[in-house]
Amino acid sequence: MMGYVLRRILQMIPVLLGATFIIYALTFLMPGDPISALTGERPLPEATVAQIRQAYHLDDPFLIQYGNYMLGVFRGDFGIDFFGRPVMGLILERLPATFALAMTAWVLKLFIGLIIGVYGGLRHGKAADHFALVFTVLFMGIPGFVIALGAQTYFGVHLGWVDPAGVRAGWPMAFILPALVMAIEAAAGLARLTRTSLVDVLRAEYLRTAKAKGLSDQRIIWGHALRNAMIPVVTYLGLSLAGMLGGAVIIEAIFNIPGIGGLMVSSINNKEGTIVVGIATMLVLVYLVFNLLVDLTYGLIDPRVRV
Amino acid sequence: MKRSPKMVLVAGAAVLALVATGCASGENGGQPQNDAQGKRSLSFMTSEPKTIVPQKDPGSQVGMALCANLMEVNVETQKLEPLAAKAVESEDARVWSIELQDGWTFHDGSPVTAQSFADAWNATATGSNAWQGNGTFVSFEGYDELNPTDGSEPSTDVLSGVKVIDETHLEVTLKAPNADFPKVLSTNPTCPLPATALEDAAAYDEAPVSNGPYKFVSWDHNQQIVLEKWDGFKGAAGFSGGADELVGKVYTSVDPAYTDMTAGNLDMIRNVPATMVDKATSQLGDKVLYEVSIGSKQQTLQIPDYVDELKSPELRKAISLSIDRDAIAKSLLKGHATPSDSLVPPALASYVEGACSECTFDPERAKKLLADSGGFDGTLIIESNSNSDQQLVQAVAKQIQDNLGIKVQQKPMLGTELSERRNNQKLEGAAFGLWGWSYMSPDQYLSQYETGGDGNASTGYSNPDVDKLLRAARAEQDESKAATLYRDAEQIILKDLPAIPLFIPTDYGLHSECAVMNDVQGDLQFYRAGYGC
Repeated sequence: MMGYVLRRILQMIPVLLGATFIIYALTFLMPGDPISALTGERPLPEATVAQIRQAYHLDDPFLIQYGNYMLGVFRGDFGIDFFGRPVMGLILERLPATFALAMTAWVLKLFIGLIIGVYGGLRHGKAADHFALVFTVLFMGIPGFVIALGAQTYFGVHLGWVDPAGVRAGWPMAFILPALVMAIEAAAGLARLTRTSLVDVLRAEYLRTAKAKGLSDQRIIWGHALRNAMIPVVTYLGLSLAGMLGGAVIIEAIFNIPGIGGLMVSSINNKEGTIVVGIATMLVLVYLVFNLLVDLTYGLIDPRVRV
Repeated sequence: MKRSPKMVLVAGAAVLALVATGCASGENGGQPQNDAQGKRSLSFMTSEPKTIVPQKDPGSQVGMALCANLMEVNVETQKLEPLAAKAVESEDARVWSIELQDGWTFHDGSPVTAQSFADAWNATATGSNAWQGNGTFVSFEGYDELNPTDGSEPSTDVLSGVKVIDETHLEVTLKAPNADFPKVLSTNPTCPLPATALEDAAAYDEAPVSNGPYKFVSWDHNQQIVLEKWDGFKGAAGFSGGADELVGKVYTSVDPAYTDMTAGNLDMIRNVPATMVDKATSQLGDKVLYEVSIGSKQQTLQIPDYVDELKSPELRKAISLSIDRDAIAKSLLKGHATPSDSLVPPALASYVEGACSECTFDPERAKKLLADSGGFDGTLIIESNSNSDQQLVQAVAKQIQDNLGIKVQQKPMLGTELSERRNNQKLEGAAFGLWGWSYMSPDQYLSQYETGGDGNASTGYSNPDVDKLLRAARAEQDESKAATLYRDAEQIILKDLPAIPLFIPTDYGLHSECAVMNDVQGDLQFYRAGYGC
């Protein structure tokens, strides 16, 4: 087991190297000059521009810039932005908000999605199942930002239950509404997946055998059906948490959550390469770690894949 | 499978428990502070600042509230008056003597001396510090030594043009006479810095100490910045505001800020997008809207001198005559802009109504001028920032295409790319430009057409006669005489029309009942707002 984990961790290194290289190259190739972006239309004097370019090695060839960057990364230094602030600090400043939002949304989604999915699966073909289907189709169909803006106006402005853009209220009041919006949207997919998976498993012959052996309903559902039905669901859950950490840009913008997504978008617009690469590297790392955790969880649920 | 309903119940209870415990913990934790009764607090929208040190970000609203400049525009008189200075004078507009007020201190009680200004100016003017306020000092003697163009280390660390005479007296020598120098001293890069700012720059970045009407209290990154009225401020009321406490609430964009305002959580927004103005007045009523008294910005169609196909003045005039500015201002811009007929906004002293005789709509004359210029069978490219004004550029492009019968192609791109093309003379056609002043002077606009002047990179326009007139105007301390010289320069520039005047956009602010907005010569500053509750 330890050997397997170690092997997987070593495999991450080339993936990380490749990913940072591609992202660094892409930001390097992006049109535009980061120094120009500093002051907009009123350009800095030529001498100042020359000084800044010098200080940030912007005139070096691409491979040298990338090499310098990676040397820094291995020493734990993710570079500085054009105002001299360390990139790691900027990311760490934003990370708690993104993490709080993603985790809250993920937990809510887990409950909502599993409840609806399991309920629908167990009663498949009945009225409750159809109701669950309508619910999921509805929320999968409406674009996320529409739900978000609607919920913000209704609960934030009309009812005044939460601040509509109030990150200052802290967790959970500032995060509950955006997280719920994200959760409901994502829960629809989870519910569909859980239901289908459960329905498939319930039709399996080994369940008929179990029933014939005289096992209680509870034993059959908890011990056999759900356990097998959960394998695809766990994969989905693990990767979707990684996705939520990196992909909440629109929700963050609507509810004014100062997270990683917004920082990424503004850094791309300003061509702040070090920040873009820093965030991307971190997200790749998060994805790889979650992938590993998902693979390890399989072993717990399904002895057949235990290594 | 009879058990399933119960399972649902158990799981449902778990969700409730989660939410309930979450709520409970929130009450002790990060709730917004409820203002004590009677505290006059106003909040304003800001994005998370990269820095609040005025020298590093001259446009920072927080920086403006923290710092008292030597000169400043008084809200009550709308005139430029000495603030931290007692007097700023010069015989020849080149060597300036500055006398400071006696006994002024920074927020921490340390004295504001001539050295506080000199230290700040030297640091800002040093190119390798890469502070954004650097360009302000380009007209100072000794700037070039601090900013070697080859990127090498400067041989000195002080501006030779800045002399500290004694505790309260400074002498500044400029490269060339500039009667606007007192106005320069009202801009944020000229703020003083206490000695501690240079000893521990990192600490100062997080908690700046300055000499202005408001002092720094706290900066909760990505959430809010709190400022408090400083009772040691000795300036007149017209240099300060009515709130005891100012809270800069951080928003990622103007949309959530607006939503927060509709929920009653935010007092002030500035630079309101035109599209939001009508939404706001219909949702919140007319009283929330503040219209800035003076248009300080101008939109133009810049025509680079190095694009050979667009060299002919007749062609440029034909393009200008083919644009129906009135129609666009009324329909697309819904009256939130006025057509521009000069190279400067109407509020400036040198403005003459209709100075640009080709800035009206006259398709007949346009076609005639096009024929005179020998015709145009290429494609007129209009480059613009894809994040702003796309519809406006589209409308202008369509007018030219329809009324002049030439091919027009829009080329939207990221702001960073447009600035790069502009500054490195790589534009392929005309470019949509927006300009504004740092202080109210015709020089701030006409320098765009002076060889190597501020903003000259956009067009690269160069004309020795214009340069000479602008130099003379700058040296003239009599405002009306200077205005005449600026007017003469504008007349010459207009013959070549390196930039086609389009619109003067109207600036708006949104405010709550308690916030009484105002502006100083077209610049809406949050900290000057009065308190009306």
